[in-house]
Amino acid sequence: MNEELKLFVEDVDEQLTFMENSLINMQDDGVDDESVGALFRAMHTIKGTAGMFGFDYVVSFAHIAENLLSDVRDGKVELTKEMIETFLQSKDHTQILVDLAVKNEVLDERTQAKNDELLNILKSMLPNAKKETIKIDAEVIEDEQGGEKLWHISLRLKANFFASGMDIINILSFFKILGEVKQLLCLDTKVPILQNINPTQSYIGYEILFFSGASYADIEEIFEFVIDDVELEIFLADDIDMLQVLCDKEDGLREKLIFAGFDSASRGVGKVSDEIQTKKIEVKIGIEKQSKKSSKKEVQKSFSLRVDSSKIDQLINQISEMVIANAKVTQRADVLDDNELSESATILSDMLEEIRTGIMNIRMVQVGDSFNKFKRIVHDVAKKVDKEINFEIVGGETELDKMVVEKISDPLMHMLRNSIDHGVETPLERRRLGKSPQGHVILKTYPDAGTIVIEISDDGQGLSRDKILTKAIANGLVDENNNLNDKEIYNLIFAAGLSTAEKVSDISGRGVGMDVVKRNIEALRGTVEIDSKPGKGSLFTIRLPLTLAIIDGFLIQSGNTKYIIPLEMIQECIELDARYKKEMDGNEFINLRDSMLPLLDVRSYFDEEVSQSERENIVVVRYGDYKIGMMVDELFGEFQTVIKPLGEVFNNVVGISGGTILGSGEIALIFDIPKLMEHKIKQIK
Amino acid sequence: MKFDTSELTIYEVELLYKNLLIEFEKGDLLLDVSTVNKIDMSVIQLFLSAKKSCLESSKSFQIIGANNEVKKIFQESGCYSLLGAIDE
Repeated sequence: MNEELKLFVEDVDEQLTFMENSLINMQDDGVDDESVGALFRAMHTIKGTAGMFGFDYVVSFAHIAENLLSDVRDGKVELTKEMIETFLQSKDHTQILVDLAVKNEVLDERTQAKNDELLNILKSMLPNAKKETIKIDAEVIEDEQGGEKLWHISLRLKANFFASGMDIINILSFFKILGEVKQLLCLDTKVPILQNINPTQSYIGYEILFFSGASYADIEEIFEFVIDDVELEIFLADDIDMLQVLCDKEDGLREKLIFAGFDSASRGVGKVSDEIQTKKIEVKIGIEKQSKKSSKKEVQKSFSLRVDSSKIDQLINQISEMVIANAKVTQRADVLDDNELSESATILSDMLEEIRTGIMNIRMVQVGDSFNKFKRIVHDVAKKVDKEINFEIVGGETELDKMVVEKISDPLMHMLRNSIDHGVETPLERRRLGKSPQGHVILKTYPDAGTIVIEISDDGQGLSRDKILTKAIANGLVDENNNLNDKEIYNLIFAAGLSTAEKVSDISGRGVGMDVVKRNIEALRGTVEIDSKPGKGSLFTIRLPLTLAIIDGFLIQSGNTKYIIPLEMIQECIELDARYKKEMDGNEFINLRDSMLPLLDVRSYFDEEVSQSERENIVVVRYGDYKIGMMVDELFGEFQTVIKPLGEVFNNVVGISGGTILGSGEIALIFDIPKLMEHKIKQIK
Repeated sequence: MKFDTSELTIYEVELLYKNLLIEFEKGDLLLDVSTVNKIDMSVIQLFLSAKKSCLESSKSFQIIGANNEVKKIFQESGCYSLLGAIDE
């Protein structure tokens, strides 16, 4: 697939996703003018870009949908729930058409039948005065609306036109969608001979006679993606004065037009009058307006830039290496006791941190943009299982690494499907239980202690503790004489092959999935927990790291090994002085401001040798609702930590999530705080 | 001169230009596009330029082997007659 086609596919994908979200929002919250206008523009853009690639069946379909949206926008037709449903189906169908067009395939029988069915429905929704006849495989769309005019379009490609990535032939083919090209004159006068040409520059121009019911704005929109790369004049063919101005600008043009059959060119020959001077001023004003429009577009262009994500990954890798290199310089400065070098290294370190944050921010996206697609999934699943669901997305503005957002998408989808299919009861059952017939499912996202928390909650029947336990015992996952609390039992659903669903549906209930969900989340260095209350509903809590490449760490030492604790999880550091030691009296707890803080002795947990350090310290870390104190020897302070994967040897070491290279070349191990906490909690029990 | 690619677009135009210049120095230009399915305006413009050079130097210029797809592109670009000498 070439670059232009890739951009087209991405653009269509964005437009269709946007359409889908707007439609679902309107279905839930009612119709609003702004969303309808935006819907129309999305379909219009798809039609326009598809036309440039000559994807006729996409254009023909989008044309009818766009017409109906135009009437909705103009208040001629009311946007009903039924119509929203049709537009949702049209959105899906457009995606299929685009996929086929991109693969250069013709419509298969099934798609053709769906195409015809949807077109009939869309047309039946149009006001009677505007029913259209359409022939899918032909290039002409007949519009019964009157007011057809003969337009003259004068077009000159600017020298850098080819750099726009658009092919003028595809743009010209779009005229056939809107009307009939009566004359097409290609001007090659300015094309130099082979020895003088710059093949990447354009020298071509066009004069076009175009018969259509389209307006000036419609015709201008054909060029909307190349408006800065062409000189364009559009006027009615019988506007002799405009023609005169045009012909006066270019020697020999009038003769060429007459020769090519532009009848109007043979009239008004040599007519240079005050009227024309006035027109010239008008044209000048027109050009000024155009350039103002162009400069506005420039401003808009500067807002977004498509960049291949691999280029950003590469930058992050390079920054990571620079961070490590700078750590070496810092360390060397310390060894040499060179203040100047140390100062420079600190400045460089700050700058690197700023660059790192900047690059990381490029990767950060608002989760809402991606999560909005779940509205459609919830809508479809609810419909399929005959349930009424009020789905809410809270905290959509929370930012997360784009890669993490993409990878978390499938697990979330699975959990949402489960919530609707098995969690929320049918309206009948809910009424019987005294609940509102509409179930509530909430997808909530918020930042917390250097992590992003994603919660999926529902007000359904909750998980059946007994069923899970019975199944887990039957599957040999736990002993009959286990001592598990409710939460631990609920979390057994993440074990492979454990499904308590009575009905296996095509949505969920096969017992495969929740273990995969957990694995996928853990692969992102995240955790997932579940809590549930019978008859009240369930709550899934996912915690994810903000980024996967570099973190702000805190360097400590225990025994002979250096470790990193993610800085965001640290609440405070305290010295384990004699008073605390006395209080402990052999136990692994201290009283920290009147609350008991469990301690994890890092040295004994990782079998470290006894430290020579004179003092011991406690680093208090928090993850979710839990807090523990990590007993360590030395505290070195903040350290920009480039996360490096560890070899297979460390695969089974619970509590270590990765490693990093220090300035001295030493390796520091990064703590997996959630796992260490899990260990500590089990130990306490 | 026979092209060994199915697409002649802006991505190929610079290389094509170099080859055309060499070919032009040798004599008449006979462009065999039988393997080609897609041509964009940058390449059509180059062909127009080549035709002009041939006219100036009294050399012949001919495009042969154009399939229906390519002929349709020439027509839609408005350059079919400008290119002239397209082998039917």
